[in-house]
Amino acid sequence: MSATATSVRTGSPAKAVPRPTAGRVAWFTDLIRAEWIKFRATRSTYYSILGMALIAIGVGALVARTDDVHWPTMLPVDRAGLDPIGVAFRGFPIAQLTIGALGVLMISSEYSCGLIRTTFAAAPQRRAVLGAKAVVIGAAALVAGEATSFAAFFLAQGLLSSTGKGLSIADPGTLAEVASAGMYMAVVALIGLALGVLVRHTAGGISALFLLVFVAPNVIDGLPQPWSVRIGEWLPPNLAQQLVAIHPSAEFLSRPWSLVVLLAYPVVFLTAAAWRLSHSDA
Amino acid sequence: MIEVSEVTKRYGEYVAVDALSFTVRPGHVTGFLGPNGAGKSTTLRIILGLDVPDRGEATIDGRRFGTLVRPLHEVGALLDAGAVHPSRNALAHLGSLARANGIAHGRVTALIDQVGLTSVAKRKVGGYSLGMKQRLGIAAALLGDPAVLMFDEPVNGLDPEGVRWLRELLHGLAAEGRTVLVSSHLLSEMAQTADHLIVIGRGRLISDTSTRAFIEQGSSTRIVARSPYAGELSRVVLADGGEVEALDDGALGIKGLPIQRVGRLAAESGIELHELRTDHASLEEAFMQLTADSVQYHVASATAHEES
Repeated sequence: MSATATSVRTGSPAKAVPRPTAGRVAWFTDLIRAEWIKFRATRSTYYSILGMALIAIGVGALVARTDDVHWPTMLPVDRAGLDPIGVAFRGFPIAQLTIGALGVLMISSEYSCGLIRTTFAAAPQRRAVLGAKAVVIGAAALVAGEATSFAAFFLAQGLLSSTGKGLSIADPGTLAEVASAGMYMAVVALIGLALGVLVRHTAGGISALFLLVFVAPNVIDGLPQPWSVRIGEWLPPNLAQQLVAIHPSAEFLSRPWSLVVLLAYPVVFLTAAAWRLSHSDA
Repeated sequence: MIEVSEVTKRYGEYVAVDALSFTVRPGHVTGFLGPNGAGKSTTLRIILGLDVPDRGEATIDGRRFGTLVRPLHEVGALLDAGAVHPSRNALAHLGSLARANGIAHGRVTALIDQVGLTSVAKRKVGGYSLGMKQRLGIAAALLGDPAVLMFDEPVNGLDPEGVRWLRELLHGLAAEGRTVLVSSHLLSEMAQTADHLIVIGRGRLISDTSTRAFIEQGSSTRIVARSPYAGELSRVVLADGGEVEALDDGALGIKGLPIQRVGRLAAESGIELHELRTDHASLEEAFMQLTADSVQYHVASATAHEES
C-alpha cells in the first residue's frame, strides 16, 4: 500500500485522462458498452439464459418424444389434434420466466445493492441508461430466444418422425411462427426490465412479471365467456400464441393486431419506467 | 467548487436537510461533519443529482450535476462502498464506469494497481472486506481524474495503514488544487484529515470554519494535568484565570487556559508534572454537545427514518 496521491495523479496542469470527443452517438454507444460489460460479468446472466434454453428445448423434446412413442396407440381424434408447433414450444410458458427474471435483475440488482446511484453518478442521463440496458437485454434475449426457438423446433420435429406430422422450416408460415416464438422472449425480457424499474425490487419485480405472463393468462382462461376472451386476448402469452400457433384462434385478436399489441407492451412499459426514473430520487 | 444554496429536502414529515448553504473551495480537504442522520449523505446525493431537493440548488462549478455529460471527468464520488454487484469483479465494475465515460481501459488497471487491489482484481467483489470495497470505491471516484471529489465516510473499514494512505491521498489531491469533500461523523478523524470543516446537525449548518478555529472555538476543550502537587497547581491556575476541576483519577481538569500557559505556570512555580495533555475526548464531547439536539431528534425518530 505504498501508493501516494502523487503516484495516482499526474499533477493538475495536464489532465491524466483525456476527455473523449463529443458526439451523442459515440456517447450512447459507450453507455451500451458499459451495460454490456456489466451484463457479461454477472453470473445470473448465464444461469438465466441457460435455464431458458434448457427448459424450452427440453420440455419440447420430451413432449415430442412422448407423442412419438404413443403415436401407434393414439386415438384418431388425438392424432388429428397433434400440433407439431405446439409440441415444440410447450416449454416456453415456463422458459419465458427465466429470461423475464433476467430482465428484472438487470436493474433491480442495482437498486438492491445501491449500485444504481453509482451508475447514475457516472451517467446522470437516466433515460439513456435505461435505453442502453434495454438494448443489451433486448438484443441478448432476442438472439438467445431465436437460437432456443429454432433449436426447440428442429429437435421436436425430428423426434416426431414416426408420426409423419413433423414440419419443415420451409413449410408455409413456419419460419415466421418459429421466429415469433424467439422474439417473444425479447418482449418478456424488456417487460421484465421495465418492471424492475417500476418496482425497484427483485422479488417484487419478478412476482409482477409472473403475474402478468403466467398467472393472469391461466386465471383469466378460467373466467366465464366472454370475459376469458375479452381480457385474455390482450395478454402477452396469448398474443404470442396467436403468432406462433399453426391455427390462430378465431376469437382472439388477428395475427397482425396481435403482433402490434405484443410489440406495444415493451414500449408502454419502458415509457412508464422512463417516466418513473426521471421523476423520483435514485 | 461545490455550491449548495438554501437546499431543503423532506422525506414525508422528516426534514433531512433544512435550508442548508455552504461552499466547498478547491485546494483544501473540506470535512463534512455531523452525527449519523444529520443529512450528510442526503446532501451529497443532492449534489450528485440523485435526489431532487424540495427547495434550493446545488451546483458544481456553476452547473447542476444532471447537466454533465460523462461526469466522471469533472466529479468523482464515493457514496457507499457496499454499492457494488457482489458477483462482479473489480475489473468489470470499474471497466463499465470507465466505458460509460469514454475512459481507456489502461486507466482502470492503473488505478486498481494504485489502490492496491491488483491481486484481487479478478475476484468477485462480494468477497471483499469493507476496506477493500472502500479502496475500490475510491478508485471509481478517481477514474476520470476529476477536479471535484466527494467521499462519504471513506474511512469506515480501513485499517490504520489504510487510513494513513487515504489521508495522504486526500491531502495530495487537495494540494493539486482539487476540491475535496469528505464526510464523517467522527470529529477526531476529521481533525486530522480536513483543513476546513462544515458541521451540520439536523440538516442545518452549525459551523463553517477552519478546522483549527473549530477546535479552538471549542472553549470547553479540557487540559488534563497530573501532578503530585495538585493543590498548588490548582492555585496557580486559578490565580491565572483558569478553571479547575478534580477528575476521578486524581488528575486535574483545566479549562480556560491554553496548554502552553499551563505548562509555563507549572515550570515557573517549580511544580512537578507527570502528565499534561489536551483531552481529546472532550473535543468529541464538545462536538456532540454542539450537535446534541440533532442526535436526540435522530434517536427519537430512528424508527421513522433510517438514513440511507
